[in-house]
Amino acid sequence: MATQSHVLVLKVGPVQGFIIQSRRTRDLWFGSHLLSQVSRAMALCLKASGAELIFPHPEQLEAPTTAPERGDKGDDDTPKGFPNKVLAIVTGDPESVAKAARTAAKKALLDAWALVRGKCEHLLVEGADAWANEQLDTFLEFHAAWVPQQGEAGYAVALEEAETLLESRRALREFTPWTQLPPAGTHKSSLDGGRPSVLRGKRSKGGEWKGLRIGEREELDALGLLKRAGGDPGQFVPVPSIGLAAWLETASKAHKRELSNLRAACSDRKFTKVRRTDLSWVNAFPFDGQVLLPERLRPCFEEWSEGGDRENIQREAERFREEAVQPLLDVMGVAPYPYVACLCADGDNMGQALRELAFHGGIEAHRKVARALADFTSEAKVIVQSRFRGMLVYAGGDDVLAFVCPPDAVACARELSSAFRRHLAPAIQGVVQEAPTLSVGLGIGHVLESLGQLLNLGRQAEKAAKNAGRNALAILLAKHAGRERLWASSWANPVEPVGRLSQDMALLSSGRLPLSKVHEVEAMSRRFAADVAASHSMEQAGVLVDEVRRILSRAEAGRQESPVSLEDVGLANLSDTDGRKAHAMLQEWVSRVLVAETLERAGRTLDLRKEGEE
Amino acid sequence: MSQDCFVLLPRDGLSVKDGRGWYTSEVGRGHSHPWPLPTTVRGALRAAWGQDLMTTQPGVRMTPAEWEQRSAGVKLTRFVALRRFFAESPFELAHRMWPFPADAVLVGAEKGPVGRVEHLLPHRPAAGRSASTLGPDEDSAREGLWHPRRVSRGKPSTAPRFWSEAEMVCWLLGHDVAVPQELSPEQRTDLHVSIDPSRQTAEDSMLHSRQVVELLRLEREGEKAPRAVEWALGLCCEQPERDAVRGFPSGVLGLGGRRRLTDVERVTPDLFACPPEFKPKASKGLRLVLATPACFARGWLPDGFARDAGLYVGSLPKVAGPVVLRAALVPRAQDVSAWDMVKKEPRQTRRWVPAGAVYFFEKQRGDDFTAEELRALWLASWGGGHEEALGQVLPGVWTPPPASGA
Repeated sequence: MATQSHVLVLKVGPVQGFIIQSRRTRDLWFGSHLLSQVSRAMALCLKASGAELIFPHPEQLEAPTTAPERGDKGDDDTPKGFPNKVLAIVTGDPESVAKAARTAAKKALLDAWALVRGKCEHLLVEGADAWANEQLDTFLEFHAAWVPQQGEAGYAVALEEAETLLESRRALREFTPWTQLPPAGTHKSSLDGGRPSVLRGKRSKGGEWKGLRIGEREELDALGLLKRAGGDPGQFVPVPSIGLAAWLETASKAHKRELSNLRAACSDRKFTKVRRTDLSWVNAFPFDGQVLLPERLRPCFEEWSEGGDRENIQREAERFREEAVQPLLDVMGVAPYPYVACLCADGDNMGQALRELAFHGGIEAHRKVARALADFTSEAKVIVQSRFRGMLVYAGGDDVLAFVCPPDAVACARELSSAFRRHLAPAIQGVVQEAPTLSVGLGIGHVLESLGQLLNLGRQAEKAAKNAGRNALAILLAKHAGRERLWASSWANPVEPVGRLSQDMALLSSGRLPLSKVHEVEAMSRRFAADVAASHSMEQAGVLVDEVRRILSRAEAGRQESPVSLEDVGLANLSDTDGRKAHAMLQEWVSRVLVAETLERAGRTLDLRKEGEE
Repeated sequence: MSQDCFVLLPRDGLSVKDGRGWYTSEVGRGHSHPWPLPTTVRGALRAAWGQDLMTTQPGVRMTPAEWEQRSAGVKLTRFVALRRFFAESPFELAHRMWPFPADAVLVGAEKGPVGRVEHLLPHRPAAGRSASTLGPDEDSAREGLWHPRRVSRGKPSTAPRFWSEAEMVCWLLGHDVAVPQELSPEQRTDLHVSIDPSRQTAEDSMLHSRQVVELLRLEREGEKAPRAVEWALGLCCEQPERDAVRGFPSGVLGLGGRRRLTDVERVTPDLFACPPEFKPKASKGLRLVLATPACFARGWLPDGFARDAGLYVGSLPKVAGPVVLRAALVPRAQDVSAWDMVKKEPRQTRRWVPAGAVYFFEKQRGDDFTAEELRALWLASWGGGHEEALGQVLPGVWTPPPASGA
């Protein structure tokens, strides 16, 4: 009699809440990497115990097991992202296999801590191991469910049941109270707020504290310290540098001497250097891009100084600005635009597609999808980091999280969307009715905005893309001055988002559509009711159309007459709608043009990357 | 024992900082809990009580240590959220708002965003161990709990923080509820600057901000015009027996970060009573929804429950005989890190079961939960922290699925 086989699903967390608790880019990157490695450890354990892996694809496990992204090791050497859910077929005892995977997950976490613990021993307060170990022991939320396969449609039925069981099981997030209590008065982690800090109170200025960029009043629990000190600090590219990537690379081509002087000045002052030899755009200026923002120089110098009084530090910062920064700003002619895009992407209709594949193709069909997703995540890394001067935080399964400079962001989003469909197509052909697509959200915020807020913007934008019918791009713009602007559009629209924004940017940069007219249209439309009564709807629509035509065609004082029509600005359908729709269309148009204006301003006079270019 | 019942009406928003200092993931930003914790409110009442005592009783002066000792008798016995149209009428039962229960899930419709509220009902496990689960550690009784599941597929929508009295009563009686309005207090961010007195200008790098929960705001229900609504905290409070202050609290109260001004409106204990519409019939199963966070000695597992032949068996307040815990829907722990005002240092973190968690029970002997037992459980206290109104429950009926072959 054959041994009963089971469908086993494992899930590990927490994910979103843990990743978002980040102050430095290294917290974000390493936190994400850590979870990925925990998933990988579970998958490896399943494979070693003879389980038949489905997600992730077994070949995906063949990447190296050591160290996260290290530029000096070359791009091919870097491990891939693993989703936090693992699926396998187990023949034998599924419970013991699941328990072994749980042990492997915990071991992966503890191994990472052991490295950091050794490296940071001098930073820990006496006795911290007691509560640090408890924090690590209780951190992982591990859940598993398994169901036997029976009959013809055994895999599909069992998988559906196992997924449901797992979701139900996860409704109970068990926890225990803290038992290892630190001394009274111990502060809580600055990232978490609940777990006590493991760091010493009295700190020297400089040394290891400076290397890890731990602030004088910053507190980190074991997980926070693990994020901060894990990996090689030099591999993490600061977010300001990503936001200014296009500006810096243009400077490296057009004004080599001035940029070289700036680099030398940064080296002389021993500023923290980023070591990513694999990324040419990082090497254009391998330091924190904050030094290009005059208002940030003093705080930067205060952080990097080994001591000394504030006046000296201020004088030093001022001298640096005059001698090293200003000459470059002068020759560039355009100031760095200090915004960055947080890109969040997620597959659409994946659940439904996997269900259909399970019933009509079974395990093999799912394997093909796993392989396709692995290929997609590999290409996503190339797209983001090599083609579009961004940094990938995570790409696993159908999820992508990255930071990109605004001028490249929209084209990068479209290329990711195309790559997703291209990789998935062969795996679903002929079986899935509605092919999965990729919705991409771009949250654009100031480079000095907190990472949590930037991530929030990205997630909100991704949600807006889903709400826009999926297979869409959404851009949420949060500038320091002015309210947030959101614009979403389907990739399948007759004039798809990149083309639409390009037309708007061309109108704006040529001066044919002055920004004042956009604001005027917005102010005018706001004076009308959004939810106009049906009896007045058509009249209101008529007035709105006439008013917009008048504003667009009016000659601006001091400008050459160059009227634009409703068609030119993408409002051709305005005259065919009722009052309510016309009102909504105008609000949407204003948001779109203001988004386009930001993108145009961010990329003005710079060398931009285009889709398909290497 | 004197009992003072009143409503706190924060007029300037509330900032109840969590355990992160100012040097957080966002330097110079204070993060606020989305809704004030009972422990914060009790702390403010203890401070107000001390001030009232010293004001009304000549010659009484307390050092911080004395204050801490004597004010320990100030107890919070009821803590409910309230919402009414601005200055509409005195607060009444219909204004109560309850935490969205974990056994309700908002699911999308086949087309479009309009969804429905679905019950998560525990399923009796199939005989044998054909399908099973595993958690982060070893506990066969926990893995033997029944799993609440929904019928629909797809991703559930984000639930609102609160729903209304009418919706909650309906839900507790086991009836269907329409999709609730998205009515929740929102957070805003207040920005602060430090002024350099010598230059009379803002100091560089001293900009800081804090999250504030806005409780007096405009809300729009559907297509209707927006109306001003006020959110408030309904409280019952006991004073120390020997040191009771008449008319407590007097005047406005300082609450939360920066002691923001909070108006006080008197109410009667009826505001916390079991509603007359809640007329449950005797039921084989009982659901307990946490109206306030609960503090259990073993974390998620309720006090008084122990493993017994692969089950969790224990007792409940106001309920006769032992009961069996059948299922538990518990979100992640709520970590509470309060500040010791006397020692001027952080207190140890406590871990609470968040409000909205739901536990399902059957009586061990198979008896029904009587209508009287169900009504008696209305806002009964469960677990520790009674002096902070922790662990107050709302009872709901539940029909356990029949055993196989029954």
